[in-house]
Amino acid sequence: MDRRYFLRTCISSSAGVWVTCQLNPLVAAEEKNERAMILLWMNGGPRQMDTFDLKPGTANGGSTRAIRTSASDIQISQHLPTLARQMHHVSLIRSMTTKEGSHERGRYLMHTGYLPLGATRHPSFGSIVSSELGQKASSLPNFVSVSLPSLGPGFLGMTHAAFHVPDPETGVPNAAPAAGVNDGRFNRRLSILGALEQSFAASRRGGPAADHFEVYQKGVRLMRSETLSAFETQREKEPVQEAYGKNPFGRACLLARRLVEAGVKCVEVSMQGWDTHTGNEKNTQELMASLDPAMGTLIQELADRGLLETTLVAWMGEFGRTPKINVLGGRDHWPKGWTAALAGAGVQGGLVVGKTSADGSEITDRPVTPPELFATFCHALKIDPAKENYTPTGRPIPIVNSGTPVKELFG
Amino acid sequence: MRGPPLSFLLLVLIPATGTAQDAAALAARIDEAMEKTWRSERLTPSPRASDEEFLRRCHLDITGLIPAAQKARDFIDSKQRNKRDLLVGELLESKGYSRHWSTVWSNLLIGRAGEPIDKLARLQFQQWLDQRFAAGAPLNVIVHELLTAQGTVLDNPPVYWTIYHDASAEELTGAAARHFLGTQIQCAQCHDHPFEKWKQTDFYGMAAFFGRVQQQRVLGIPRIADVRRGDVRLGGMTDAPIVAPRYLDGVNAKNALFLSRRKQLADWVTASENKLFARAMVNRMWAQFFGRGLVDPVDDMGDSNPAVYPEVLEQLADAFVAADYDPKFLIRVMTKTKAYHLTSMPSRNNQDDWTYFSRAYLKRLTPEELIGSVIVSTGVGANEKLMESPLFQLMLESVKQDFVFVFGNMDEAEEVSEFKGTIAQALMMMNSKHAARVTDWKLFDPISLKLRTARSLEACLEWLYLSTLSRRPSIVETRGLSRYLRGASGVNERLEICEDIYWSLLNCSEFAFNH
Repeated sequence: MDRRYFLRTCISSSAGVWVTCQLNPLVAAEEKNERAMILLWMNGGPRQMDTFDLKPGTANGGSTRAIRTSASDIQISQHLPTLARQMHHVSLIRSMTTKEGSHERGRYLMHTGYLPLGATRHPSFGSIVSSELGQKASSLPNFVSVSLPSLGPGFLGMTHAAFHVPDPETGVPNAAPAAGVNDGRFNRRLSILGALEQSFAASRRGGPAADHFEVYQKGVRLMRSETLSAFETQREKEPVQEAYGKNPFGRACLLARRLVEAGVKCVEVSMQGWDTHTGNEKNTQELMASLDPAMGTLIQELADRGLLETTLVAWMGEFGRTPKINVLGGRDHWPKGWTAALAGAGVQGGLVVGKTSADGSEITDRPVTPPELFATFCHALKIDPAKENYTPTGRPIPIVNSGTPVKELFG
Repeated sequence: MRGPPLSFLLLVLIPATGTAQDAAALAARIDEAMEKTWRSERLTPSPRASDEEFLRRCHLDITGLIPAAQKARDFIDSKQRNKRDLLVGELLESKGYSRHWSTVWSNLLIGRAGEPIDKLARLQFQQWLDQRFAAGAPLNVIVHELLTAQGTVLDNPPVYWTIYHDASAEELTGAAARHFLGTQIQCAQCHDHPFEKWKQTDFYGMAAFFGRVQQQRVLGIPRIADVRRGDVRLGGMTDAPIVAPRYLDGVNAKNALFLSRRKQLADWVTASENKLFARAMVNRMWAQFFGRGLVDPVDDMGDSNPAVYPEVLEQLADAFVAADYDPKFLIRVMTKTKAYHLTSMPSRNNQDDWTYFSRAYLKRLTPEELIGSVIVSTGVGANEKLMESPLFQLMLESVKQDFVFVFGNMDEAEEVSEFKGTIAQALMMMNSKHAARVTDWKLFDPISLKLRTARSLEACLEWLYLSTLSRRPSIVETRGLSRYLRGASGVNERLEICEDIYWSLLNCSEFAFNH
């Protein structure tokens, strides 16, 4: 390698290598026709009896009143008025059941459809969506988790790990050069880096080095991409921001809509604070006050923009809460019978699957297990649930472990 | 030319005892076996690695850190004939050795991610490992201590391994088999193993040894104790028959009144007769140094997955037992082999060899190695005292948390031929405040001090390269980069350009890999 070569590579890397693969807008347009998913993860375990499976007038039901909704057969909590107007899009499974009453195991189960087993690390469902529906050439990540990080990608590998946005207000971490590094300097850095990469690659040390460079190219592409603006919720009109609510969960739901619109395949939005062992009324109402406008507006906007036809929205936590109110006025962990809500991607709205007894303590009709729920996700997203992925030791593991979709939901 | 039968005979006649001569003799026998295979597979091994390449590799493999710039320069310029051997010896006695190996084992045994509440316990556990490695404890002793520990983390840190697995017989069985015996019997928890001989009864026979471990909380602190009662039932079903403790070799454990079941198991696992243990340890160590196990994946050893050089695995395992399970002996042998001294650049025909070690395989730096090496590159690492100070360690820990978070808990079974980086990692290395702080010459940094006082542009560049890539820049690189520097108006702009070069060096593949 002589000086001319070095200079040439510097120039070609600054002008060429880093800018070659700009996102093709036509590709982006096609992606919109594909299925996508938004998971609204209620971390800690939400109260089914104060949200979607009310038992008004019973001792267990507490003081929450039921209101009518846009779906004739569904009544929900008085604290969810915005959502009530969207229930013709939403269906409820009031008979979710598992045996896992610990946060950690429940969280694992309801993210993967599997229980932890030995060394096997099952992928978070969003990683499955990324691997099945994701676009390799996309300048945006295929799976984004907002607020809390999702579970890991397991044996699917870091390529399908959630791209984590800890704070929906500030957007993508580290997407701009550090303070004091202007465009000129950043370009100089990339030129030098490009030359270093090319000379190391020229030593033919193989794939890993080339892959390293490719990931950097993707990173730079994201930094310079127009689509990065998808992460900037402040670009939305003021009334829209207001409608979602100017709080972390409201912002996150707005971000989820923007991301799905821009071609992201799965967005997991988490909401904290549902582990309500104590202090019944007040903090539940606070939670609802941010849940209701965010989720209600999200579903309405997706429907208005025609995105609900292809986008599955799922609302759930790791389990529900005890029907009986404890001495501290709270509710404890309850995996035995709880509610999940689904909308979009072929799911008919306004339906109820499963039923709990009058005091909420038993499932009286059609229990639904996690594999059945995950098979339902797959059905909505047109993913083959029987497809097998392989662990590093070559063990085949199906996307869903022998569960059939809840077909009633699809009419 | 001596054939393999003779070398095998030699091994039988001369039992290894762990001296430097033994290490060299064993390495020579390994070379012979590997060279024979290279010939039969028609692979031309890559040429011998340069001193620069060897220095960086050896430093990262033994201490998990790159060498400081001054150290790199001294080693490269040294005329001593046996300087590579001396380097290995010196690194094995350094603080970095025990720190690195306690990190490796701690990541393996209790993972990187943990509940915040366990932070102190995890720290105690790793410090205990550090002390054991620093004291030269044999690996079988360390494993015995892990398998049998009782009490709380405060009085007996190795107990955290049991606490981490919730004292669950099934979890402990899977982990112990995988980590200490190199086998995946946890598949047999639910059904007989699809390829190997393991049956569900084997799994529960081993689980029965962990069936009498009790975890209690005293003032919120978990305490582990062996108790007299507790049975494991086949398949974990309440109506299934009780399974008696049985070793993986099919022998039933004797009824012992005064011996806990865990002690019985630990005695069997770490006994010199148990080849599974020695092989598993050797295979793991080999993978650390060569980027891939003799059996790959490292924790799935068995009849259906034979070693690439079976005789090498056997010889190393036997010698390891004879050397009293001294990990340093294994490291001396492995770093003495011809294969370890090969360059990672391919020869004319071995580019696609990912099996026979006919060249050095690229190993991606772990988050700990990456952040540690970035810090060494600043020049701070040259100052051992500062590196060891509690404040610095705390700082390192917080930076590491961020890194591990972004980089994920990398699976040790990840394929070496596939780099699985993410955009988030690249963005973090390019733009994060940590990265910015490191390269910011306006903050006090030994490297910027050095650059400000450098005699010439060439001296500046040389120092930057030695600090990061542990080599001097090539003539072409110096020429190309000088072009940028010459255009600078004034010392500040020159330092800015140096900062940009430094940034590029920290972000390039050559830095991101142990090659």
